[in-house]
Amino acid sequence: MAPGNAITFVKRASVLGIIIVLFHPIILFVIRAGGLDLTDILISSAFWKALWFTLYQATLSLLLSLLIGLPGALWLSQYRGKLKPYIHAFLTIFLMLPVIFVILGFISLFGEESLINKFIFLISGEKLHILYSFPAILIAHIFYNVPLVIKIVSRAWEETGKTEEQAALLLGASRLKIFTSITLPKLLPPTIAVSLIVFAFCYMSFAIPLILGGSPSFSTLEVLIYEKARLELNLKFAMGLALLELLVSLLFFWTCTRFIHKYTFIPSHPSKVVARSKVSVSFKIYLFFISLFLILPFITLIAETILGLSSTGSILKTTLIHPLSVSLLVALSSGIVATSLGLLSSLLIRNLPEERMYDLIFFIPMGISSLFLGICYLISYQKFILHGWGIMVLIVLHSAINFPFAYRIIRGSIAKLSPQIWQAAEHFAPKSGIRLRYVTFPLLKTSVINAFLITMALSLGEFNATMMVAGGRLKTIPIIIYELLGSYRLESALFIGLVYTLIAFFIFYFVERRGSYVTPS
Amino acid sequence: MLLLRDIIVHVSEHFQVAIPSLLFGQKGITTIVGPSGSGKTTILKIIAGLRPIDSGRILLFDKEIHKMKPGEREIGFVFQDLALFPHMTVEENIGFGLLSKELSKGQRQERVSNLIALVGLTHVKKKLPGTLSGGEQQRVAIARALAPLPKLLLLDEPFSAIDQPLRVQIRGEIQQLAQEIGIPIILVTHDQEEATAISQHLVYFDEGELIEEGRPEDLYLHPRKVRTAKFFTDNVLIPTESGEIYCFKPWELRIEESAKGRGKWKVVGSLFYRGKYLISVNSLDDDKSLQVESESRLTDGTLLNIKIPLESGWKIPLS
Repeated sequence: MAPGNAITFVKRASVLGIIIVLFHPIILFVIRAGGLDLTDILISSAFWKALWFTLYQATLSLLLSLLIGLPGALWLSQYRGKLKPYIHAFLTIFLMLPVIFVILGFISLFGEESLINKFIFLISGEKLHILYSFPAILIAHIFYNVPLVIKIVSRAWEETGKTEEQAALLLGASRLKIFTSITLPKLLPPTIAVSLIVFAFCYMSFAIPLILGGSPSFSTLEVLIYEKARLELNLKFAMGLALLELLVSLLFFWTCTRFIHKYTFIPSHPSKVVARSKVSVSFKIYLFFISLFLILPFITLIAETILGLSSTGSILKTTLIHPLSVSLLVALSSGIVATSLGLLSSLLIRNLPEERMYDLIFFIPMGISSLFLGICYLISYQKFILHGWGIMVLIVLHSAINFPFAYRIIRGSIAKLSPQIWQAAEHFAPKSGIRLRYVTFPLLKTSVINAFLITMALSLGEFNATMMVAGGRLKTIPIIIYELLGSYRLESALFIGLVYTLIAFFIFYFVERRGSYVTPS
Repeated sequence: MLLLRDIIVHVSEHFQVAIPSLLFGQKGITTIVGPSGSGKTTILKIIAGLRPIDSGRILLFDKEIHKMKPGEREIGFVFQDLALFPHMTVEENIGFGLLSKELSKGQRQERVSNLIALVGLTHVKKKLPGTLSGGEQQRVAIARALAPLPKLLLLDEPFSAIDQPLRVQIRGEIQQLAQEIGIPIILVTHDQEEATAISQHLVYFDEGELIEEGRPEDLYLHPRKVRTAKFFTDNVLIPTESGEIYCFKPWELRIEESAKGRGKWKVVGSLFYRGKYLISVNSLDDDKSLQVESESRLTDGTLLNIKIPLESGWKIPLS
């Protein structure tokens, strides 16, 4: 074998090794699920009810998120003020904010004893009963997804430019014709892309319907899988459900991807749009309410926490030390593992002919629900978990969940650099040690630190898969919050939630504001 | 001197670079010229070791280098997009290639200082590349390539990202540098004007094949291959009935003053170019078209006769 071929072989084998180490439970699950008899599930009303509700709430949440988010996206794509980077940084936080803390924000906002409810009661003598209902699920999904819609769609629209419209105008096309034949096809792909993400998030929603739904009739497929696996201990049924959930989502995304490919329109010369100078009054009102909607849960979380501080101290001492140490151990370890493997994979696949294929492979886990990954790990490592190795399983599981994020961050920073940088390093320094010390690590340092911070923060807030694998045995911060909520110790839950939210806020803000090296032009 | 022998590189399924034999001189500037996608950069990369060869040999001063790693070949390389390390200062960039050499810190610093002075960057030596102008970045890249004392310097499209006035300046600087450092320089460009202006030797490449090489003035005025003649766009190629092809420059053809307003050629365009007019004409008899120089602009549609002095034209040898 020629030296070049041998190196390529080693690189491919190493990447395959990483995939196997992190995702072998999925492979084992598929092998085992292949022999499953799905008849019991297909004739059970619980499955069809959960499937119907999952699709119904996901569709409704998507439509409402688009309805509320798209005007904001349009505004942000045209806004050129000084606040723009801060708005983007603020919106980024929502993309990463752990679901359990969103729930806490909502409980602090709409809870029976919340400040707002007390205020409303003072005025009207009535209280708002939003929590533990279907609207609560919808509002929480909208809260989570509107920032995503605004951020992604506004960025895409910003880069679309007006060149094609101007060309059509000069060629004599009517405004209506330009809108239907040029503007709309241009705006549609990013809108469809974000719709897919929002739908996927709502389709795989677990913690929000579990905690805020408050009724078995509001069970999504994920909640049903959890109930079957962990509460009824019917692992076979849960496996079958997980398989069906996966099949439905794959079918849906395959159809959507075909649709996107068919209608994708790439502008020939992306350019910046002209900033809109005036905003109408109705739009200002919209912006005020949307800002209030997004900020209010944070404000009430802080306010309720401060008001309840006196009663949190003694509870915290007894309940916080163990989950905090478990969470930190898992987050630090999985952060290191996910970032190291992300860095290694990014470097290994560079210059391989199938480089882009790996991008796609490493993107797939982001489309699989963490609960699904959790059940795969639970099935593969049940005995280990029972014999006290749960924390190790949790570290690998969290690494697997967060690996795609680390990979994408580091890979993204490599993509920003000219490929000739690496060739120059190879040309001027024959020793790989020198290249690593003086070029590779310094250039990727920023993205590696960012990847570590983000994966660590995501791990600290991970709820779904942790509940599936270790709920009841190992207590992490989100799980203790869940338990505190269950035992009506809201003040303590809010305090822990606020501390974490502040940490997450600073991490994500820090990461968003830091740049990485871009090749000078 | 650099010798490429029996080189074959499969660039893609449908494209390969093949060089039976090519010898580069011991000093001066050799330019590899050719249209975009002709395989020019591939040749530089195989010389530098950044791209493996499928077969053949590369000898630099009689030493086989094709099996060596890029950093061991003693070749300096200036990349097309310069590939400066964005996190390193100017002096760190220039000194990077010396880290692998067995030199003391003092020796390294001395060599870097000398090079910084040579390329006139003392005032920006502590700056990052991103803060420099295009010309300064170019000089950093050249100094970095020269730091390890290479036996050969390769420059990949060195003028592609530079504005026209700066191009002329950098061109002059490279020529001066070539004399000062006394090592051969191989440069790649797709620009015919730059190629003929800067080099002592020209190698014309097209579709992965070495078409012709020689002095720039020979390739420009007396090409031996039709493909070379076509590359220099101001050439007027006139095939005769016997199958021979004559090559003229627009100024060698004459408009017959007496025939203006009548004749066999019709004016289809006039272009003001460097103080004169290039007149494009189409033949009324067949589908021939050519360019001829004129002192004045001519109106489209004007009929005229053109004197083609076959006896003084350059006849491209039949291959």
